[in-house]
Amino acid sequence: MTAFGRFVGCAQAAGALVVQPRMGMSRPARMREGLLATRNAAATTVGTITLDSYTRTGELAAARRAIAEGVDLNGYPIACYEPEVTRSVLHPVADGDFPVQVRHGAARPERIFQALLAAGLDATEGGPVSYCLPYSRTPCARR
Amino acid sequence: MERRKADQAGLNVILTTVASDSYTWNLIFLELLLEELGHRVTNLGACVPDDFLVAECRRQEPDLIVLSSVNGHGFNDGLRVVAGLRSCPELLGTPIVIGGKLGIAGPGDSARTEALLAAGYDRVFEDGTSVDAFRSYVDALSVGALG
Repeated sequence: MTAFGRFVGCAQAAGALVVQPRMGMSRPARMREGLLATRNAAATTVGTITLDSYTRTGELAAARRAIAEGVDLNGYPIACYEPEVTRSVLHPVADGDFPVQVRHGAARPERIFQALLAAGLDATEGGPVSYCLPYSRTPCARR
Repeated sequence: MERRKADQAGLNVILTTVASDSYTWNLIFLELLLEELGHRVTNLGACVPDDFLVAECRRQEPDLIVLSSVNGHGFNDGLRVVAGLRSCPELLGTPIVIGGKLGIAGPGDSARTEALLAAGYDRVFEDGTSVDAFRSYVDALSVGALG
C-alpha cells in the first residue's frame, strides 16, 4: 500500500475527515507553496498535484513551449521538469504525515507515470479507462 | 443536404473547443442556447484536434464558428487555432468568435482580447456578462445586421 493509502486508512480508522484540495501550478515554487499551505492548514489534509492539460493530452512539446514562453499553464507539467525539480517541490513538504497524490487526467499516462516515479511519488488518481471518457477523445481500445 | 441561408432559418454553427480542453459542460450549454435561438449546431465535443476542426469547417462552411474554452489554455491555444482557420480561403470571411475562461487568472485582460481580435477572431466573450453579449451578437448576425 502507498503512503497515501496508509494515511487515508489510518485517518478513517481514527474517524477523521481527510481534506484534499485539488491544485496544480505550472511554476515549481508556486506548486510548493500550495502544498505547504495545504499541509499547514488546520485540518487533516493530503496534497494533490494536478497536471496541466497539455501534459494530460500527451502534448509535451506544447507544454515545454508554454514554459519556455512564460505562459502559465493550468497545472503542474511534471513530465517537462527534471526529477530533481519535482523532488525540490516535494521536499520536505511531502512525507508520511502529508502524502501527495498526482491527479494526472490522462488516457495514456505512461510518460507521466515515469516522471512521477522518478520524482519519488507513487500515488495517482483515476485510471486510463476513466480518463478516456469524458476527459479525452481517445477510444478505450487505443489507450 | 441543402444548406439553409442565414436569413431564412437560422445559422449553421460549428461549436468547438481547443485540443487540450476536456470540458464539455460549456459546449452543452452553448449548444442548447444556440438551438433555443433557432440555430443549427454541430458540436465537435471535447479535445478537438486542430486539423479535425479545420477539416470540418472547410467541409461544412458554417455561418458561424464558436470556440469555447474553460480550462485556462483558451488564449494560448485560441491564437493557434484561428491562424489555422483563417489560412483557409473559404473561411477568410466566416465569423469566428471565442469565449469562456481564456486564461488561468480570470477575465479582465484587455491586452488578451486585443491579441485575439488581431489574430483573427471577430468577437471575444470573456466571463461575466458575456452570455448576453454573445446572444446579442448572434441575433444581429442572424438578421444580417453585421453584414
